[in-house]
Amino acid sequence: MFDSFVAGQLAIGASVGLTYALVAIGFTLIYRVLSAVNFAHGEVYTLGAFATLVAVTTLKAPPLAAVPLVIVVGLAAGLGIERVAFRPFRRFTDEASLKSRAVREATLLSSLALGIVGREAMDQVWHGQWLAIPQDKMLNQPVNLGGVMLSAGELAIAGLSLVLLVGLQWLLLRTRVGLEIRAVSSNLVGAQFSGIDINRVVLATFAVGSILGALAGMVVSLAYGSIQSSMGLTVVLKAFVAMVIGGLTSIPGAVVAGVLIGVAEGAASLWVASAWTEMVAYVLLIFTLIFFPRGLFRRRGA
Amino acid sequence: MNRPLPLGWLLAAVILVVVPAALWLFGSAYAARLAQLVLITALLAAALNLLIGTAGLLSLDTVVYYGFGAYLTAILSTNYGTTLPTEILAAAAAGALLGGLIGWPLVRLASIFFAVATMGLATIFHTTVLNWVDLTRGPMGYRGIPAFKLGEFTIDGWAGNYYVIAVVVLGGVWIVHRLTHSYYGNAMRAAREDEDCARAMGLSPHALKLQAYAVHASLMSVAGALYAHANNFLSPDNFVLLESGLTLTAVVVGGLGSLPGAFIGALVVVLVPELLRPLGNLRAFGFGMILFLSILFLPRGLWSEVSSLAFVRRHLFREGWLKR
Amino acid sequence: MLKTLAVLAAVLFAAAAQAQAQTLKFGCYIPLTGPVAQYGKSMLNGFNMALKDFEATGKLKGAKVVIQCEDDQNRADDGINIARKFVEDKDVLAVLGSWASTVTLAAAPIYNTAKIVNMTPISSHPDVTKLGPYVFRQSIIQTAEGAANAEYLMKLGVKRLAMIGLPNDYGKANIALTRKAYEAKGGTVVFEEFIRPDAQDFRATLQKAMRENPDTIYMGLFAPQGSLVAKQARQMGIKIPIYGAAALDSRDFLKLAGDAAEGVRMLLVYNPSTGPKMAEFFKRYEQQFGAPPEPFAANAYLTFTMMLDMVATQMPKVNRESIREGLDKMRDLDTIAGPLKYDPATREWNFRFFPGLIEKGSFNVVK
Repeated sequence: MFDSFVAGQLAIGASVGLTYALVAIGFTLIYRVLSAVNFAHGEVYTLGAFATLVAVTTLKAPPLAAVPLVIVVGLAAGLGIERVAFRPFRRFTDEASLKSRAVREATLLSSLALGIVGREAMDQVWHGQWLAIPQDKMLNQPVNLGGVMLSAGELAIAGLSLVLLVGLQWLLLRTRVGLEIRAVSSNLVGAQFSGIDINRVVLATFAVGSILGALAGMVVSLAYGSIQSSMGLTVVLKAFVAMVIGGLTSIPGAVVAGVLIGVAEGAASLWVASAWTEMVAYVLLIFTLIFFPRGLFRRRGA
Repeated sequence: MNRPLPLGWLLAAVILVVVPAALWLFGSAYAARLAQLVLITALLAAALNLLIGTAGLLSLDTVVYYGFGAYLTAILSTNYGTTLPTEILAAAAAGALLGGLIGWPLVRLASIFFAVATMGLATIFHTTVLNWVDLTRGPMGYRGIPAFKLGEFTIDGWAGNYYVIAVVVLGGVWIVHRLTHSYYGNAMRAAREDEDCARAMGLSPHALKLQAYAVHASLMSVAGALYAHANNFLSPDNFVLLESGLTLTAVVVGGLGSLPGAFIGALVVVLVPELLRPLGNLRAFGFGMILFLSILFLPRGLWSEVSSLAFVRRHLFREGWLKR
Repeated sequence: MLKTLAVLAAVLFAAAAQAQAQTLKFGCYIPLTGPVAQYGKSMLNGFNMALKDFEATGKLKGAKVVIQCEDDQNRADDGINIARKFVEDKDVLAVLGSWASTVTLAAAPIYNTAKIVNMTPISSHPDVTKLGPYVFRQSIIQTAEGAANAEYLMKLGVKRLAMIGLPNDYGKANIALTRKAYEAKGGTVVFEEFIRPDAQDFRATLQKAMRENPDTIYMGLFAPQGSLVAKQARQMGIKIPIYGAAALDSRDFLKLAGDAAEGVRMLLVYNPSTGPKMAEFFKRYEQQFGAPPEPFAANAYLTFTMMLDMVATQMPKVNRESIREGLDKMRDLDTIAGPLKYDPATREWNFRFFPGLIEKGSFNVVK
């Protein structure tokens, strides 16, 4: 039975999945380099959304003109997080401590704590309220694409995911910075010995990853229109799951996995009530891990 | 003559004599409530410490077994009028069984994969208790859970509650202590540090990790049983992922792999938010800051594994149980 | 030396005078941090305004009123901790709170055992006041709202209803009670589903609902989710009317839903057009806080004002027990929300509902 209803549910799922994928891109980039989870990524995403709101309401700019501001905010947030929550744990430069589990767990928790601080700080500024992107600034115009009705927001999310994905692959595989990033991510100590300035590479990664996170926050908030200081909380968990299903270090893998989660949620809602679909991503995750213990798209040798 | 008092006895004396005496002196039910929460959190932290600190598995599924034990006890005691020993045994056995079943495929996973899988378990658990209304009464919450019962005798009042919790928690912590400060604990540490070396020595890392996981599940389930009676009310919101984060915080702030650290960490995560109440709406901000600064400046926690092991070894040497 | 003594005497005298003036202390527990902090902060405004207004009436006869608000972070554990703390504080006469029924259900039994009145201005779970004789409620009750919803829906001629709710204690009770009352009046519920509260895309649920061919969509939701559902329904080209729970009466809904809010119907409790007292309250609140009151703020204001007025009649012999007796003796009260009736069997106040409609970006009472 494949009727338009089923197709509709799956399409909605895919569109939701793209928002997971979009957030997962920046998240995965940071993990790839440091093997450290940056839980404050969700707050960068939220900051991106708030920067968009400030741009379109206070500064009365058109949505697209918010991009520079969002990039600056993402950049500042990324550099700040690296400096405050990650750099202090790289003060020992011997191989053992750079690779130690304790350091990874410490950064996981320090970024989690920094996330709480950031979220509560935003709560103080915006009084924990739900805020709206004005309707005329939202990307919700219906677009007819060969008989299928889509909204401009969905197209923007899909488009941005694609652009970021291709751009990042180009950056990683075709540029000097990308080479350095790959070197650091595959062998931190070795990269150091061959004269790469690790701090600079890590900073660059955080800058790029956080700009991507902030841009994701911008596009999603423009598409859905509602913003609140704790909005990044669940999104970052979904991004995390997408990253793991995608094999941890593969950015295209994370994108595919993000869409896959969304489609699975859409498919599940055909049989069960929506309230239960919350667990779909995690059931998918656990099954993936049991049958593919290293994720679906693990790079060979990584 | 000047042999120092062993730490364990000191801890037991503080928990069983000093704290109740102070509570009785000041007659504070509020302080007694916090003391109960500290003890329950300490048992959770000790169990999590066994898994993270000793066996090296970073886990975020505290709420799964904690909530499982709590709901199991709530259902047993309201529907069948069970008494304390039955409930503790049931929670321990069912927790171990569930932990064993879930742990079997999971503990094979490498570090971060394991952490994410346990995070998923926590969400799956929360969704289940929230939506399985017939069993858990869902979001309406499970209320009217009776007080502790020992035989025909109902224990209420803070002193009775406190002692029941204190004795069970000390028992649980003692089990973790025996497991970690033994050859068995060293085998777990060996498997944590290098699986291949452990295998070469004839140890099975999978079995060791699975056992650690099942024991941790069992102890957390017991903590949940205590919590159900201490609170008289359960709701799915008590068991969200963030609460797992709180236990993890206790472990990390206290010091990975150390049992005194579990108590110190529990004190911190229960008491600091209470002490920050005067901050009003800056309270969570303050807690985040304290958490962040403590991780930054005390990356090994307040009482880390090395110092606690050193402490224990020193005493064992002094008492002549080990030869240098 | 003499000077020092004089100063000391003056200080002692002042302290004695201070001790003479009676202090009436009230406790309150609400979420001030965390994801739902905004509702707690709204309530805090209501409490503070009630206190200020009451002080201005001069009914105090020199007594001082204090309200100590503690943050429960919307956690049951925190609610119990605060309860233990207030019970011990001999000065606390009565306690107000909390926002979420979950927290109230966990904490209220402790107040009840300690014989302190816990009056909740918000928690609408049907079981709250069944916890014991010291638990009171001054808020919309879900049973009453369900009956009023059913009446309004029937009046609108709704035959086939699709219901979407929040999967928490509020949402489950809201949907169940409205459904019961609506079906008793002969309506048919063709679809019922609970959404994921932290999702932001509800089109899958809407599409499922539309397959059952309803003639109205009912949302048992708060503004953040309700606005998304309404917006996405209009975006998908769903033309049928949308009807919301009374909880949607919030400026947030207008702000977040924009044009999609137009034509949405719901029951209103607090609306400036329902009476001159309410209109005046709206005006003064806006002057004080720079924005019109949310229903939570109005409810908190009403509850605390009622409590203070009752206590003023008992001055100077006020204690924990006298407050319970006083509250239980009340029957009728003229408030900003019009005349209210107390039901001693359930220890609840019955609110009046007004059929409402969103038109031109504001909540209006339908005549």
